[in-house]
Amino acid sequence: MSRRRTGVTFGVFVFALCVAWSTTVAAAPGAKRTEAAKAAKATSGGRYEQMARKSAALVAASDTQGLAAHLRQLKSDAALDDAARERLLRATVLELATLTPQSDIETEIRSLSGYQTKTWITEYEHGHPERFPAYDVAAAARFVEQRWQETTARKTAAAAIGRADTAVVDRYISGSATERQGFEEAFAAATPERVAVYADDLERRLTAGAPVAGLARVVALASGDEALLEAVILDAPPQEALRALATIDPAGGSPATLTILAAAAERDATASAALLKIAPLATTDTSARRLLFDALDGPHGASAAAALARGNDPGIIDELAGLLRNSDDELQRRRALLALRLTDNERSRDHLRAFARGPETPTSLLAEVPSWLRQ
Amino acid sequence: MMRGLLATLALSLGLPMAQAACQFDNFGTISNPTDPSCRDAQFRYTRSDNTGNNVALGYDVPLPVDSLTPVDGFRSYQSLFERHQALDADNSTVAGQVVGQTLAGRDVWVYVIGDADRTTADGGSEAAALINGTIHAREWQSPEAVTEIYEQLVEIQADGGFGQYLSENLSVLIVPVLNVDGFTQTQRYPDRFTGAERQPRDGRMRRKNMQSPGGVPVDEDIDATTDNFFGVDLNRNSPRGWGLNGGSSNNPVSLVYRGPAAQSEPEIQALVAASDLAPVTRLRFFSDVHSFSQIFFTPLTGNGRRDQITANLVGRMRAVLGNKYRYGAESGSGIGLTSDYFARTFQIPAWTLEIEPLSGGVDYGGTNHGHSGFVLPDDQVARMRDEVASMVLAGLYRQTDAPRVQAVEIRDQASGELRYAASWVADGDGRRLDVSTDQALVTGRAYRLWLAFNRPMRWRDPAGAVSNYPGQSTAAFPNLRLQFPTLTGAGSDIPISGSGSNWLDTPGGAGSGFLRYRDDALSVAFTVPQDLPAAAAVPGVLVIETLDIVMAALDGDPTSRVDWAGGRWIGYEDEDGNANDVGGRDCKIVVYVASDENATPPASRDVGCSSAQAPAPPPANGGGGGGGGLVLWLLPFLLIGAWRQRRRR
Repeated sequence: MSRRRTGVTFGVFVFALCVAWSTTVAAAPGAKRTEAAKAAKATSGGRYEQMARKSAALVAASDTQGLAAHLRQLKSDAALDDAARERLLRATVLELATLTPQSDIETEIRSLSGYQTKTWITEYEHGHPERFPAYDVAAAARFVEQRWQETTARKTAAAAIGRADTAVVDRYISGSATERQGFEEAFAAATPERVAVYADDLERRLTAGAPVAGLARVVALASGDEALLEAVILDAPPQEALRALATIDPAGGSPATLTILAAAAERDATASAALLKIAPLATTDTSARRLLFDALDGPHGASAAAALARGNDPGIIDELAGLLRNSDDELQRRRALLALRLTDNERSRDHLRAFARGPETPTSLLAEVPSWLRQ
Repeated sequence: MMRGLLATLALSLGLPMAQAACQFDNFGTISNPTDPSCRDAQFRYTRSDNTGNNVALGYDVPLPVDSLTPVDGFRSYQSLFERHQALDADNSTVAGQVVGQTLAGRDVWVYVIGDADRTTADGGSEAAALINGTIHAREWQSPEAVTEIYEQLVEIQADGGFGQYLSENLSVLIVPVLNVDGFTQTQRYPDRFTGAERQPRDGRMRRKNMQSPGGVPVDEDIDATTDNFFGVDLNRNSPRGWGLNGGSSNNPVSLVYRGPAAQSEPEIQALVAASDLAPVTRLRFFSDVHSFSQIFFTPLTGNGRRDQITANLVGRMRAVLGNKYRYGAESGSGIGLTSDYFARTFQIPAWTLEIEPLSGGVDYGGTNHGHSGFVLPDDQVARMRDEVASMVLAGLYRQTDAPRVQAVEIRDQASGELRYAASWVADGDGRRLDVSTDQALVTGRAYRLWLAFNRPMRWRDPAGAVSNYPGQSTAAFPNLRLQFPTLTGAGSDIPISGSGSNWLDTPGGAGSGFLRYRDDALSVAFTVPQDLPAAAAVPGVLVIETLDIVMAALDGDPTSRVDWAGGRWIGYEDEDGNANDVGGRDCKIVVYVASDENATPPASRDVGCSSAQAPAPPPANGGGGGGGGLVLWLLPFLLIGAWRQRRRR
């Protein structure tokens, strides 16, 4: 190849590379997309298929030593192009998450966790080109390492649960986030009888401020311990409390359900979610309905209004309309108005129309009606 | 068992025995959408289970939470909608309105936030900003961030400072969820998707609306698979580049299907209807909020001043988060994005704001499977919301108006006697300086200057100390000088020194408190030098040089109101009256100084100020950071140019 031709080829290559990298989307759409297409077609060829079959066979046989050698071979196999190599590496690595690691394979995975991607895909969905690894081998390796740690922790915890070993809670507290995940999985998989023995201890620690919220939630669910679940909802950090709250089924719950939800409605972080959880009870349970009406002029009155609206109940609608007409509390009237807006059926619209026509309707509230009535 | 495992791995490896499910053409479009192996493929997101058609994210799969108040996670559409309605019903400063219906007949709402009068505090015509959310259904970051902006605007509207200023001087129109049908579809199946891992489609990963070529909307049942690939990409459906430049497809199964005509989709028509409420003539800020890739992607319209103003504005917003968001610019004729429409049609700053992550779930320790960036982990959501809101609020403040001097008062420090008082008052379409008191300042005497601006000029930290808005760098105290242009030598230019504590955060108005908003005024003492040669009265120019909270310089001539037209600021000038989009110093306040307090004023005060202290404009793009699309675009030409140069040698 002549020197001049090499230069031209180099120039064209640089041009294409920079077009693909540029944030300018207007030019040469066809050229831009070939990179992605090439990467996606990285599955053809006898060598690829041969190595893929070998991966599958080794995984099926749980042959971790063989897999370690196979990964080493994949990394250096000259018969594979980079795209095919990285696709094989990633898929094979991900399959290792369920296997028990041995030192050989751990070394290989640790090495691959720093793998530098060579094959990139340029996506145009964002309206401009963005490059992503076609097959992120490093991320897959890090995931597998994390999963192995979780699995080890899970096995450790499962054994401790089997022995009714209470020190497992201390180990949970001092563990990493990954280890805690494994512990929680072990408790979730254990029988209710096995985990129930931990409930009192966890409740005590939780209310004392120990970082056991995740485990306490899992144990409460696995053992069906309502007192512990309530403690999680009331004392755990908001995210755990909300996760616990989400597990409550008001319709199928016990008589204590409304008590727990009422308590959660008093906690700022969970109040809105708790009031919305009460919604299905409001049409059949007068105390639930009363609770929501009483909450209308409180700090989470908007959530109470939304909960009342969700029932779509004629009796509730009429009571809300009565509040809107007769209450001398501006905030309560606004919340009643909100609930009627959110109910959005003919009955509530009739009430809103009548309210809008009323001679004593204050202007400040009247302004909130027309947009909802599409007037 | 063995056979099942082999088949599973073969599937993930794409072996021929699995028929490889969905196939893609060279343009990334699925080429076998009716093939059952592609059409019926279903996947499920999990935390850590990769077996079969499960896709492990490496973190918990976010599920919608029913809560009106923000949670560390994503709220359900219903509770988000109830939140929007509640803020509307509870606040007279919010006016919600239906601007259209989706294909399924769901209402599309816009909420107009700000006081009702549509005039600024000093009687001008208010600016407007439009923020659109959730045009792409799966981008759950968007409704949360946009709702946070809505929530914060309402929360701070009576704060006596920054928030009240925005409420009284700007109309912010927010469409939290434009693609309601698509968004509810993604929440209906929060852990399931169809298509392929490389290009996930319906369920959690629906991007488009629910339009289908037959005119019957796509059904909401993910298991009824014949129509799962259909829908129009609403961010390819706007005029200005519709169907052009390779940015969209005419194939109804494409992820970027542009629809049968520009603005064919009811959701896009609703967005246009929302903008009409601004009205569009008052718009000077449009943000379409997406995820992911962490970038402000901005169309360049060829209007140099608009493009530069936009770059500066985005630079200030990016700086709020230390430039972690990138800046990208596109100089073509558009591809039918909403930002193409607003930037090119109305010549306003407009962009696609892609929220984090930058790369994908891998940024949070995830597996980085295809498109994991759309699934932000729950524990990142609250931070993300706050960060985006703080960026956008900075931008809204910037576009509301330019900073300018509003009033000045000078009192004798010892006696409290008023020696000079002036304020800018409305005069036709502009303003005039109304000087109500004009007495000589006497050499050797100490005075107290009270200086008020049209907007809050300083930010305070949670402890109440004057501080910088995140990422901004504004000197705590202005560069204030009393210049005597008719004199020469030492003493002809007296600095007036102070600190952040001179800004006023208590009410009280002229002399002692802030004028209208907390930190819109300062009070500082100064002394006229004893040895000033002022036997006969000499004019003294109060030179005011300062930047506001987001580093905008003063409008040097408040006579003309600052407004926006034709892709640029109008009436925004430096001290010499040059319209420049960045302002300058204020030299309009001219007092006089004499050795006798009853001296006759000088014959002329039309003296101007010295040009020695030119303000340093803020950096255009927040001082660096990623992006650099234009530079990259130029790179091949530079390299080829260099190569040709070399050949000539």
